[in-house]
Amino acid sequence: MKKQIVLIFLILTILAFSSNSTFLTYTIGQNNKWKITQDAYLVSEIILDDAGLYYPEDMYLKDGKLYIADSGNARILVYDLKTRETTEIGSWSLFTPTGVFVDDNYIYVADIGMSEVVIFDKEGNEVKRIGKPKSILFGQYTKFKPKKLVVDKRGNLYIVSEGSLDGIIQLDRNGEFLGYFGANKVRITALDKFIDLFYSKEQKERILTRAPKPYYNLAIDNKGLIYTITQKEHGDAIKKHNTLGNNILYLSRLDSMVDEANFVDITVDKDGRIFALTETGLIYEYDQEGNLIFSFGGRAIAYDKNGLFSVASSIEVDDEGRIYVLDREKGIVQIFNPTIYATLIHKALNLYIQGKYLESKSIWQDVLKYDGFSSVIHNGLGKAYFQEGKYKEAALHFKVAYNKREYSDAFWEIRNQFLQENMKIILIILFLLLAFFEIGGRILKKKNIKLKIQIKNKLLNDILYLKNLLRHPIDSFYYLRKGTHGSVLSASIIYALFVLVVVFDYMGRSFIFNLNTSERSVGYVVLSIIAPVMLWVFSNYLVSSINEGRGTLKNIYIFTAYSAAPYIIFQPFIILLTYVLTYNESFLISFGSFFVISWTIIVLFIGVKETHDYHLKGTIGSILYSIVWILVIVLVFSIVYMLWDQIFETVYGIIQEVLYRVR
Amino acid sequence: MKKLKKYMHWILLSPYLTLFVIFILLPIVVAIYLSFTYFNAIQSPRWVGLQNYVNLFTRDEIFMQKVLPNTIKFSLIVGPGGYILSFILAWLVAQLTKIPRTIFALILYSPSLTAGVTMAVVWRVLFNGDQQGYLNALLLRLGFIDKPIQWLQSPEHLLTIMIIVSLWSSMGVGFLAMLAGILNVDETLYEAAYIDGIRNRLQEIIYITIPAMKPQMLFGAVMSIVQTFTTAGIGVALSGTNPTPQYAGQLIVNHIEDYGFLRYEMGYAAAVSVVLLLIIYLFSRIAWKLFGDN
Repeated sequence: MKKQIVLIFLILTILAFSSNSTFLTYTIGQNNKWKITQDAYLVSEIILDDAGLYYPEDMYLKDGKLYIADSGNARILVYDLKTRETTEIGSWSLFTPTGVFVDDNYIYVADIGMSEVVIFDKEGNEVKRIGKPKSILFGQYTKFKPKKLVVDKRGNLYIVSEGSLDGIIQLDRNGEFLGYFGANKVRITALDKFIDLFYSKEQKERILTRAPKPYYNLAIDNKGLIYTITQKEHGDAIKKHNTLGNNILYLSRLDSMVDEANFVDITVDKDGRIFALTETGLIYEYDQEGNLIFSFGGRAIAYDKNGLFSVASSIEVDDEGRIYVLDREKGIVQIFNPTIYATLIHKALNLYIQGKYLESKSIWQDVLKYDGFSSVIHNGLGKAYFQEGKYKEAALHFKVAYNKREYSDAFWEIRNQFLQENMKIILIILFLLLAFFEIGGRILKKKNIKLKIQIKNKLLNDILYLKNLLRHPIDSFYYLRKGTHGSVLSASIIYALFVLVVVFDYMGRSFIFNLNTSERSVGYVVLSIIAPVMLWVFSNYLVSSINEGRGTLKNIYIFTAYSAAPYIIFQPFIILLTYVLTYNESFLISFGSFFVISWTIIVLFIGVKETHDYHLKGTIGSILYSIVWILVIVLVFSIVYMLWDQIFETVYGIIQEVLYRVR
Repeated sequence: MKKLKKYMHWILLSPYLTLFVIFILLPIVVAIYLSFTYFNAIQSPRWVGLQNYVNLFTRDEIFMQKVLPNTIKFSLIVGPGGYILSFILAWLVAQLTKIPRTIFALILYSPSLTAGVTMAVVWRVLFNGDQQGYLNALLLRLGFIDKPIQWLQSPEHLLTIMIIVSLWSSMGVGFLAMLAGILNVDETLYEAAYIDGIRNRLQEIIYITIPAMKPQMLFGAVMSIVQTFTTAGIGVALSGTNPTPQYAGQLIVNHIEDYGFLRYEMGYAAAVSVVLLLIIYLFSRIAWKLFGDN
């Protein structure tokens, strides 16, 4: 009986995790990492495998008909998805059609071979040809190579011209040049500026190509907003332009979209979700803000499989959410149907945008059963809870989704609620505490009592001497050198404290302010602190013993430990502060850390100066020499290590050889 | 006669005391009283207890999300920054001979005198939002930006510009006091210190100059604290709008003006003022601790 249950369970798990799909669907999971999720789309059928398509470049879906720019055969193929009939357009008038767009009345074809845009009516009769704009603004020598195009509701054409660096060419319905639209930006780095200082004009012209990247493809949504893709970009390959041409896609502006450098086509569905296709056949689906929902598909490497592509060239999506992908190499179109999982997610996203938070919440909760660790789902659920005013649940989900910004907002509300409930008590307690200390201080002063705890233990006293470094660093370093305070043991304990604080700083910050170091091991952090500090002590000793420094190795060991005083004393408070602050007040954390660290460096500087009795110049020199020495030591050590490694390997090899022969 | 003598000091003090009570003590007491009431300047104040304070810290999202972080950021940089700058410049100027010293002191002091005029003449031209603005023109020519930035209207830049302008005009009364303090340090002290083993200017400053001019340092610190926390007009003057774009340059005093004189919620405005008073008092106490002579 027991065996049977186990067997059933096993079969169930296999069933649950197996799929009849040939490719995997990925999404973003915990810690912003890729993870495999349930299948979002499945290939339902393959069409046009007998239509004789030869290097088709573009495809457009309108009113149940697929318009395919069949470049190799110089025609536009129209395929009716219902009747499954094909018709041809422009077989006698086109040369190399690479882009096609259809509006209510006309079919627009970008023909790169003839450098013209050809317009047909729905029956296939040629209506008009638009050649290179004659306007002076366009430029006499500028090339007009229309590759892809879209048309807005007023009949304005937006054309991606091959090799055009100025952006999208915008023409009105008569072919008059209206201007360029939203060019990409050139990024000039500090390195470029540096090079500029040295290169002559001729050299710059010859070597440097600082042209903006051209757009590769474009799409238009039903609101008339233009979407573009740029190849070889990371973080902002996809852009959504307003009518001015500025990028308004939030994540893309931040350069933090999850994207690919080889996108070839983009399309937008009726709800504003973005689908982008790479040449290798990967399909990326984004929500309206540019968050990745799914990534699926891929390249067919050894043999053909449904859902994989040789060279993908165009993507379209219909109102039911079916995705059509054109394979240029094989000349076929594959149709992907959304699964229940994908449909549910789409529905929830739409409901959220419409403001129906409660309804979207219940769907999100359903979807959570499919995949418990998907960022998209937890984000959606968190937002729904947030709108509902359940901030604690929202914070929980945002944390799983690794959405720090939204988590910070939710946390702000939680903190605010807490303050609202307890403000009166807090105010009264604060007032009482203040009064208590004020009156207490007055009384003590009047009666001339000094509250000072005398500690007899020398070691404890030495460790507590740390606090003197804050107010009187110069005097304290003098006494440390004299040996009145401080010992090797106390210094070692302070080093341990320092390491503890650094580890706490790395690992112990709150979720909002953590340094993304969850995978780093404590040992690694400890080693990366102790090694430089000990190297510093040693090399500073070497340098100062040549440069008439007064300090002995022991002195240097002790003063270095004590100069970490500001960090050891104040940084823990800053770390604790991260637990009550949000992004709103993040300035306090960064400013505080900056302040503490600069203070520590200043104290260290004073320490070098006082311990070795240097002038200002000597101090700076000593510090720089020490740093150079550290580098030299590291270099020598790594060379020796490599050599030893070689010797060891040789000896090991000989021994192996001998053992082998003997046997 | 004897009785009169007993109260003589009160009579002598009375001119000052009357003025102090009327112009300082009374307003503070009234403000503290009003902060516990609802008062709209028409009806008589209605007692609401701690409600204003509770609202301030829990319901007023603009105060907690914008105004308070702005004020803290502004005063943390401008306060100590301006103070240190004043001291360094005062010390540098003090090294000069008399006539250049006077000229430089005047030059450095003038920004705090002429803030209103220079705001229009210098800063708004420098940070002008079109390509004629000096900064925009410079950046455009160097190729760092490809279109002019609306420096004074953009929420990202306004506070930074406010900080820069405030630092520039922070050489006020505190600066003059410190200059006088440095010049007043007894020369013989330096000589004695050099005999005792002081060897460079840094040690001179730390061991002689600063201890000898503690009163002026304290004065300068208190002045800079009060000044930074009560700065109000600068964001409005720069951006030309009140409230500043997306509350980016809104400081506590702006908030008080907003509630007091635009919305006529005097009680609430009074509560904000009392909080401001407490903040200033707290920081002054810290300054006393650092520089006071007990």
